[in-house]
Amino acid sequence: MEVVVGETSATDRTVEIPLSHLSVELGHLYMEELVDGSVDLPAYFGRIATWTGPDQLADLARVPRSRLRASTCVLVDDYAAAPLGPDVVVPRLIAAARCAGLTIDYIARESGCAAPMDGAAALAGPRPAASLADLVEGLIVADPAAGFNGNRPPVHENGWLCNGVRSPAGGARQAMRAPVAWQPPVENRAHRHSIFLDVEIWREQGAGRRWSCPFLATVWQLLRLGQLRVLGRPAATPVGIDPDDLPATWAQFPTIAQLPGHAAPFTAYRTLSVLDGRFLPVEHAVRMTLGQVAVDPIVAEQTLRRAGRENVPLPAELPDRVGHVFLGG
Amino acid sequence: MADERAEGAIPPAGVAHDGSRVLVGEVRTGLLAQSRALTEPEATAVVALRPGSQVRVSARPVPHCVSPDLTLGVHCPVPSASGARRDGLGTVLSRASVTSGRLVQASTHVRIVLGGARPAGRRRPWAYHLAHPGTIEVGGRLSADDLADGFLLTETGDGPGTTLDLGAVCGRLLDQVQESPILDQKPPFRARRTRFRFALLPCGHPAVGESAWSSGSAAADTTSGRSPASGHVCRIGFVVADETVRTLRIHGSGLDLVSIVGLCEDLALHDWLLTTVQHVVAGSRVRAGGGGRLPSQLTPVIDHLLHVWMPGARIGEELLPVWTGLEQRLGFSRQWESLVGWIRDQLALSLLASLGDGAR
Repeated sequence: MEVVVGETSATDRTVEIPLSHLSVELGHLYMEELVDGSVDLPAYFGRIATWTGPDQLADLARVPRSRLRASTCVLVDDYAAAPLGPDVVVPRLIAAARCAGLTIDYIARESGCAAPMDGAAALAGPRPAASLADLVEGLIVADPAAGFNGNRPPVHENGWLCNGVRSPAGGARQAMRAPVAWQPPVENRAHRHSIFLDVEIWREQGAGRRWSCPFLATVWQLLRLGQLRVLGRPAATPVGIDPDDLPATWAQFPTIAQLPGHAAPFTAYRTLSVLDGRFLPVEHAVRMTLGQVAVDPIVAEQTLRRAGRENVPLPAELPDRVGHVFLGG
Repeated sequence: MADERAEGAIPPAGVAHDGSRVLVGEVRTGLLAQSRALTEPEATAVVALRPGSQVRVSARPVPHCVSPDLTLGVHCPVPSASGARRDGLGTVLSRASVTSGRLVQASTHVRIVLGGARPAGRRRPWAYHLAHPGTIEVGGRLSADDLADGFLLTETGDGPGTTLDLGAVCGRLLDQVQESPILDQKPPFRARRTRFRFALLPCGHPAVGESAWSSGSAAADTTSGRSPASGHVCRIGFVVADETVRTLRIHGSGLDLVSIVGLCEDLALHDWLLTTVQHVVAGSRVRAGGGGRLPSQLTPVIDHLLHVWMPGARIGEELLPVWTGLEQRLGFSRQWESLVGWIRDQLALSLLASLGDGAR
């Protein structure tokens, strides 16, 4: 006789969420550009449309065009300052995209990644995450430098993350001794030569933390990849909005808003971001940071298993699920 | 102690496809720095070590809360008894737990993959290692026994060294839990921490360095009637290295690594109980005999520890033979019963004495 005993509270409960094949980000603009009107929005979306045809997307998602589930999204840059509210920005984006033949399915706000969480994710638990950014910071497992054996706590440079060993502090000189000779930084995974990258994650400012743009962009990628959970539940879920009844401030706008229509799920196996070339340094930082985030292994396994069932080739490594198109000037 | 045999690097059939895998780990056990037993919500809060992550709570047979697994990246030589320097890269996993609101444990483990095809050279992307948490890949030849001997027989966590230091990782985690602001830092009595190091190796190796630990070893053959695929333990060796250090070496195949870690945590917990109660009883015996009064040191033991003894309650069926084997050879439970019996006798004597006092 076999006796099986279990307690539901003793096992992790991790919710599966719907997944598209591809989440397509239709550009990114700074708030100033929306305010001063320096960007010809229909032309801007027109250039993006060239790169997001169904054949191109199916190819990137590695599925036949007939099976492709792809959703589109835009992230509004409202974290630093937001002189214009959703009631102005959202209709403008929707109309300009429509001129280029594009449909925006989801609009998210960058400040939502740094704000206190809402909905089910706010459920406290013993140690609540203050924000999505806080949640993701807790998942960082730094790439160890050669020689790190665990006998000391990992070096935690406040608010910075890098891909190797930093150059010794330049001004450091011991009393009565000559200045220490300069040593180059080293990339952990250098291919003959180093491309060392050191990224500011946050800085203390006033009462709290000011999260960096590349780090919030990393949170954004993780949300799109459906890898974030709070106590096993999705950390953020899209909330339907009525484009004819939009709030005047971003604080009243959902973290991820779903526009009316028959959109494929927001979260996806892979992401594609079509951006201006000037965002390359930001996205380099995003890829490096993503490569040092350890998501819940149960979530990681669920995603890989589902991809396998759907015959979707999917790399286990998160940075390899993220694709970019950088547009020239 | 060098393992000269070449077959050490060749995995036996059915164990691994690309190289030997050795699970190594350490469990540290102590008394929570708190004057009374924690309630379940308090215990949960103490081990909620990462925002947004779940704490696993079970109520039976004794309340038990386990933190989420914490991941740490390492890139350093792995242990070796022969002194071979073989670099490993990957992550180790740690977790902390509170049992019965009283006992605290930190445990750290890693699966070390030996003889991978990849030559030492350019690293894989770090994201690859994060996608395989709790695994260190080692480049170059190293036998499973050389690694296990190096790990089990070398003291770590005490100072500078260059090889993988699971003891330090484990010790820092235990400190972190003990320093939780929820705790009042007033344990009911003084009890020493114990260290329990373990290694799981493939079957089929005659162990090297057997003489070093055979005195305390117990063999349990459970292969009969089971196919290796369902997981089985070939042999185990348990050594009480000194007053606070124990090592367990398991040879087995097809075993679930998470269950092995759970087994070792359970063994470490019970070994700590036995060690601690034995220590208190030994101290009391010296002073006992004073007019039938209950030695004062026994009261906290009765209050806090006696009901925690539940050997093997949380471990899988395929691993029960390990407990049974250790019981047969070492008589954990017999020793415990004898200690508990002595304490109860003292309690009865003191009751009789106080009744006598009342009658006078």
